Amino acid sequence: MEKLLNDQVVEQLKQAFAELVHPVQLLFFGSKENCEYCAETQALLSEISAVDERVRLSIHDIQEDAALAAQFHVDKFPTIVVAAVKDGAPADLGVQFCGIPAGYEFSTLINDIIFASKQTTSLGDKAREFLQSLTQPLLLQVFVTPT
Amino acid sequence: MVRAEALDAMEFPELSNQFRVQGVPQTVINSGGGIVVGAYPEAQMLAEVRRAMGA
Repeated sequence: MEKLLNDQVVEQLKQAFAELVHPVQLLFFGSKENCEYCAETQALLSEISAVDERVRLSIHDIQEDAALAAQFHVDKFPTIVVAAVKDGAPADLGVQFCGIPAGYEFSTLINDIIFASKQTTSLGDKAREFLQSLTQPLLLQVFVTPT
Repeated sequence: MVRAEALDAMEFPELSNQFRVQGVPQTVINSGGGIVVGAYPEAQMLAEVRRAMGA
């Protein structure tokens, strides 16, 4: 397959990933059937992960790896889980991207990876305090388009 | 306790229809407990999340 990321983008990624602190694991969940963008999403993640060894990638099938999908709350495909790495295993941060991260959404994924690696975000103190005080689950689903 | 998903509205039309997504970004809080259309500043988004959770 032809490369999805050109040399210029790879160079920009190298610079962006210079900020990485801890390893990050991307879990790709696809399906062999009825998945228009699975192959392309998987190829894109392979190219991203090849840029920096701290960005690890594992490939999963949502049916064959149903237990893992359930563990990470994955019920759609393609889905990319952006996880931390703890004792060599992926640790859920509650962050996922459903669909192909193309166009504007490419940088969303890259920023997610950097936040996960730094194990922090740009959130302010008020939001942090509120989120830490939660006693009920909160699900935020942000609908986006690549263009 | 907190989960965040970005979803391609075009690739998941059933969900987009369920939450009547017409413009992006649209944030759906707890499966419809609250809906925020557009990119809100952090403080306003926090207020909407609080409201949706009854906090």
